[in-house]
Amino acid sequence: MNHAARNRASRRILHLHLEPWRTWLVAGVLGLWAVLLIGRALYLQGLQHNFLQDKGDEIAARRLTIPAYRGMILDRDGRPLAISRPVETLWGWPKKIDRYDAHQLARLAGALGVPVAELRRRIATPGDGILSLDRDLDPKQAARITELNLPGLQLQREFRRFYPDGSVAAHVVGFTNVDDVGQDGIELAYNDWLEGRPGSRHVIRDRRGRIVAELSPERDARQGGNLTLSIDLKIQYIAHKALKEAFEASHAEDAGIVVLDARTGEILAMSSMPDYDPNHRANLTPRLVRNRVLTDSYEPGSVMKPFTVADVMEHGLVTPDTVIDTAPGYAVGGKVIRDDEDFPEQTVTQILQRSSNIGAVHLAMMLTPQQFIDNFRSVGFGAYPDTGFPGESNGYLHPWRTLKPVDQATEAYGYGVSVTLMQLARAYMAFANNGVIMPLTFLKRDPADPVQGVRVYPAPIAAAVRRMLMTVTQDGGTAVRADIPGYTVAGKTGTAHKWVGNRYAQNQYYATFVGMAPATRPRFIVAVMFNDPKGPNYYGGLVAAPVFAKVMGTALREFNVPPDEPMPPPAVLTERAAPREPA
Amino acid sequence: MIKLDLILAVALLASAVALVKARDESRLLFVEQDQLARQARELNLQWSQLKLQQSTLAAQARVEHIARSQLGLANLSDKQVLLMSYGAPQP
Repeated sequence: MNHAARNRASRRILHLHLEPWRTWLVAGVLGLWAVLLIGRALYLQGLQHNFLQDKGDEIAARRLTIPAYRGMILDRDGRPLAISRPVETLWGWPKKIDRYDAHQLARLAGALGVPVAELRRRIATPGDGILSLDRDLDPKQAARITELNLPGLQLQREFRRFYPDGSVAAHVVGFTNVDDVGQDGIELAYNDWLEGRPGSRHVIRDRRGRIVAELSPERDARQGGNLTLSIDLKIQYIAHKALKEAFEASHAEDAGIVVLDARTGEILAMSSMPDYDPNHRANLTPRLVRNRVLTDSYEPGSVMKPFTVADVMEHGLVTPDTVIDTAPGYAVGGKVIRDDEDFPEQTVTQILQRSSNIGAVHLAMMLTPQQFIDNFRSVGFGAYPDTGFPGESNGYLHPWRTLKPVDQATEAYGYGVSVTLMQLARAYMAFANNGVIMPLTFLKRDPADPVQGVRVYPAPIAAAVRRMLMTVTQDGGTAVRADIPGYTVAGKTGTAHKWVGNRYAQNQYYATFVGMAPATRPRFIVAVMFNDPKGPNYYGGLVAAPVFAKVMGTALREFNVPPDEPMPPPAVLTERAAPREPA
Repeated sequence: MIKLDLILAVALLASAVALVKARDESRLLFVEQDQLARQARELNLQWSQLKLQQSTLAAQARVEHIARSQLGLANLSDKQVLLMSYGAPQP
């Protein structure tokens, strides 16, 4: 059969006699259906558009957050002092978890590393919302939990702050709170710089969860910036350790130490006792967190004497060899000033070496009240040290207009003024750096970009005071224990009665030592303070000076500063310098 | 006239196919870019983990403990130091 014949045959079959109403009925039904469809479409597209769009987006579109981490805090050689590590928090929906069988529970408990009973207890915690099943999971654990493929679980990535060296630099670095916001120290002072800002993106996902398109432009996450401090972790470690040992041995109430680069004003180390571990925030108390170096001001005692000496010399009133009448019992304003040891007369150098109060008062009285106070002001007492550190104190300095002679006398040997250890260390930079005080900083300075210091004494005066201060650590001085073999040391002790209640306590003291080395060309300044050391070793020369010697000796060695004094017995060297077999 | 219509129809079809292909490619590339970006983030995190691990292992207290107890090292005493001057003889 050919095609034509077949077509003709089918036409004959298809040619039906239909009643017209049947045609109209079908057309009508179909037409109505079409109208309904169009109407429905208009209704959905027009009136319900937003609702449906949202529903659709819920399935395919996702708003994702781009996590941002907090920047690292590094020491001057790039060793991390504070670092954020990713952790995962496991959230669970109670409705789904409640339906777990024993096997599923056991697997989840295994992945979390907790007993099943403990997991049951966490799930049973009342509340309708989602449960936090575990915090601080490391990424490997998180991956194991994802592999379990259990319903009703969700992992959320967060960052936790970690301090690798624990308490060593705690008082410099500070710490953050649960929300990763700086609470103290550098973490607080530079929070804006360190903080990361999470970004977000609006995307469409396909069936397999891959992101296939971006709906709106993403808001970039800003990762936190890293911060390089002036701190040297090695010196910081030695300073912290030496201070802690002496603090515990002396049963002092608190103690502080600061190490400065004498030429740049960079703070190389700072530590405060009692200390704390910033990795365990739960144990923190204000007493542990307080920074004794910057926030606590106290009456420092004799460490103030060199400033008066320098000023009197600058006015051309004395030389280091001028003999001063220091006959015992100097009376001023109804008060009699005494020395521990009496000498009828002493040179200016000897006054510093033996720390004679009477000598210091005689020198101070050569100045007018204004000269006397302006001198203290010029080296930074009574003013904020401007380190950028939160909570630093400016201490107290008497205004010269109301200064009575008795005030001038007592302030000459360090009573009636109150200073912080950081102010003291900064002021001694005037002697160490040939009369120029550099601005302090906790951030590493670029050697190619020098900063401008402030000159407070002429260079020859600063050098002369340094030479006088060298006698303090030599035989006959108050701090022979600050001596470091191979190096010249210049420094000053201070032992001051503590003001308790409304009078000076007979047997409670502040013991201080501030020193620099090598004295011929100082590299470092170390200031050490103990508040109320117990036992017979309450003198600055006995409790603070040994800590100074230990820290300074290590710093000089670490920085390869060449000795400026011949080493003791050189004859031994040729015989015993050969490497020793380990015992 | 019909010829022109045909040419245009073919061109339209070709352009439609090309569009589909381009969109597909753009999606694939987007997926790849997204995966690489995620990989970069993961590597960054891994690096910070390693950095943390390194600093924990190199913590001063740990190094000192190992140096003293296991390796038998000690600080130099002053008597073990020999200073040598270079050039002019020392007085």
